[in-house]
Amino acid sequence: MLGTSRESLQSIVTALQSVAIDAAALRTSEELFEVSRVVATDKALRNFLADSGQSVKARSALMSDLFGGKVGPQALEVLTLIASSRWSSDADLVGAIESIAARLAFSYALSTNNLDTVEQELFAITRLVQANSELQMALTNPALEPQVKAGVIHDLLSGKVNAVTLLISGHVVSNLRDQRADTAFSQMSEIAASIRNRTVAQVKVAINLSQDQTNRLKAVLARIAGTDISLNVIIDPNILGGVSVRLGDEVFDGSIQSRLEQARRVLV
Amino acid sequence: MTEISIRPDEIRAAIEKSVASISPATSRDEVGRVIETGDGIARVEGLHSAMTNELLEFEGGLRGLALNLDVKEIGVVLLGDGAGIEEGQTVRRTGEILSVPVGDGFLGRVVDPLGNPIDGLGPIKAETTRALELQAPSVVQRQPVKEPLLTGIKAIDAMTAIGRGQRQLIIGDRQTGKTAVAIDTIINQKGNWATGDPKKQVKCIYVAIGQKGSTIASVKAALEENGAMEYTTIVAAPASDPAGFKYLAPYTGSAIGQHWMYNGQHVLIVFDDLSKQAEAYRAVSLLLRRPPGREAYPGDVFYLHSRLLERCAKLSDEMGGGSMTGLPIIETKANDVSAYIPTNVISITDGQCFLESDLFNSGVRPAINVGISVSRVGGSAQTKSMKRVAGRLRLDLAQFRELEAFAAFGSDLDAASKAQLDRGARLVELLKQPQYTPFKLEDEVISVWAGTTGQLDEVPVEDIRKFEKDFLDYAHREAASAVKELAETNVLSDEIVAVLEKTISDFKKTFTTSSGKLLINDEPVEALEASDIDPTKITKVVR
Repeated sequence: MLGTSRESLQSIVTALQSVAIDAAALRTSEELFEVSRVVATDKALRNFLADSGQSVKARSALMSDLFGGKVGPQALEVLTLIASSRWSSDADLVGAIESIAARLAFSYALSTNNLDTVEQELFAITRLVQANSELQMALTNPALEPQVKAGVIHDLLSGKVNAVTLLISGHVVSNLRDQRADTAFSQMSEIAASIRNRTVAQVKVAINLSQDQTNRLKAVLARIAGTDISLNVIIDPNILGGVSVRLGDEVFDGSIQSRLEQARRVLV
Repeated sequence: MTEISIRPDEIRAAIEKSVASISPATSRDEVGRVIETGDGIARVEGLHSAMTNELLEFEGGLRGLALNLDVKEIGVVLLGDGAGIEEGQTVRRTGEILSVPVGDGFLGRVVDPLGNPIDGLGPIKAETTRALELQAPSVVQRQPVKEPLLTGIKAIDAMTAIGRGQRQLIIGDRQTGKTAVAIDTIINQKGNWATGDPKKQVKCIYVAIGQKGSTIASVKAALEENGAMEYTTIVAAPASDPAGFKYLAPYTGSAIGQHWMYNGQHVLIVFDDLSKQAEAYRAVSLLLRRPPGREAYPGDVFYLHSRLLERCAKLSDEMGGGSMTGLPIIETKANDVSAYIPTNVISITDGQCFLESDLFNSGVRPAINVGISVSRVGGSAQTKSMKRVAGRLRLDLAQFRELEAFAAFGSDLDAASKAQLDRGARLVELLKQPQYTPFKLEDEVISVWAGTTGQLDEVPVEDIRKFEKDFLDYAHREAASAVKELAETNVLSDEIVAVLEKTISDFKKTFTTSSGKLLINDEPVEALEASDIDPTKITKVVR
């Protein structure tokens, strides 16, 4: 999300910081996920809500007319806030509803001291989807009904993961909006990290890092990123040795594999 | 026989030495992700700080050119075989704007549009690199075109003269000798090169775009055979190259030439041909989903050619006085010059040589239609000698064409018209010239002088070329000092004309036509009267 949309989302997130996080917040989150799916499937509704040519009053009124009584007061408050903000595209509006919903869920996980678990689980699910092309295809397939996809995720994860992870995963796959499933999951990971003002760093190593190494790596990356770091470690023997870190859009590649590749290009 | 034996540890040491020079540092790169690829195009997600025309690097080292910078993705043209690219692979920024190595090392070489040698003669030592997309010289950096760039082709040098720094379009259907005109021009610079004077020397660049590999090979062979390759660079993007290469090739050639031009040297660049470049650019643009316009070309196809051809210039003396002369070639379909690309390029260039298939097939080669060929620089790029003789030529030919069309309807013609027709037919014959035989300027002047002053009127049309050749030989032999003076001063003075007139009338007496008769018969002699004869009686005496 860029430009105006990013600013609007930021101001809504700031406004919602005072909201008390309890079990009700989790319900609000679920309601918002549902609303985002409805808005994503109805083009006319989406266009109207994101149309800055319509008055703020008309947009908020439409939102409360449609969803008033169907969602809780907290969710409705968020929705009117979103409807009265400016968005550079209708897709951004849907993304904003989903993002707020995810934030509420993650904040709830944080309040119950489960956020670390949820983050790790989300990362594990991302890796699972990436490693299993059949699952990736099934989840990304636009011909499959959202309920079916949510069912697949539910069958796979139910009882194995935290309730928040399950809730978010189910909603993510039922509202992919032309994204790949693994991209959608890693976006959720980024939102989860941002709750504690952290940045996700994906680290590839050949053998597992020791606690000392992890701490040192975190400290160095935190200095570069300017925020705390959430490390997601992937063990990949293919890189032979060294470490390759992906931090946002940047890659720090110090793996043996890439050095060999550099040597190969000089020789061949 | 000497046996060369190299021990394995020597080989290992050599490899180790070259590997030791590599210092693989941990790299910090901004990366994006391939979201779609195909047809030589890739769409890349991320890389928000990529610049337009920046080189991006794909996994495996393949490079691509960032052309479309959209909100969420970048449209990239792959510079090479994209078979190994897959969805999800990472793409790195290189921070380099597309540029090519340039320098004198490129003379005599064949390179691809990225400046890599493809002639198997080893690496090229470049002096520096030059960005491909640099703006053309500004108005104050230029001066008017005034020095001639001789093509060695009589029809062009006499009527559509080309000056150093001019852009002269060569346009015509397929197989009408467009490339031949360009190659002859390159070969004709051999004399200038031999002088060793950088003010006279012209370095040549031949850019082959979308041509058959065999054609490029034969052009190279022809240049080598005529000793022209040592001052020529060939930039080759054959038909088998991806569209991105064909689109870039003219800019590469231009960058190599600009380097010389800004060093105060003279350059001739041939773009063979720009219609293929426009087609390659159309392919790239359509694949990048830019909106199609007329004939499905993108909206900026005019700018594609105008910014390329604006780089040909004659620089001011403060800038070193270098020049780059451009000979763009455009292929028409069925002699239609009003199609989109031909009209575009005609309007950009300073004149055009129009080659016609009808003329070519009727044996007029080079098949230049002198009626619609023009040069907007014209006279100011001609020497005094050529200016003096050529003014008449254009007029004579124009009148001839007018009469020829008229005479087709009837055969009753007055003597003046008939003379005009005869003169025209001889001039057309005089302007014919076989391939790879560029004329020296003084020879061109003498030939055109002979034609326009009516010296050839009595020579049968079929003998004109033989007469011309033999007469030039004769003049070089018998009037050597006059020819030499003409060559040195480039002025056709009255004294030289007088010598030439005498020489040609002497020569005519010795010339035998193809029918086996002398061109000028001896004066008829009447039979002697019987009384005039005083026969001597021979008697046979038997002893």
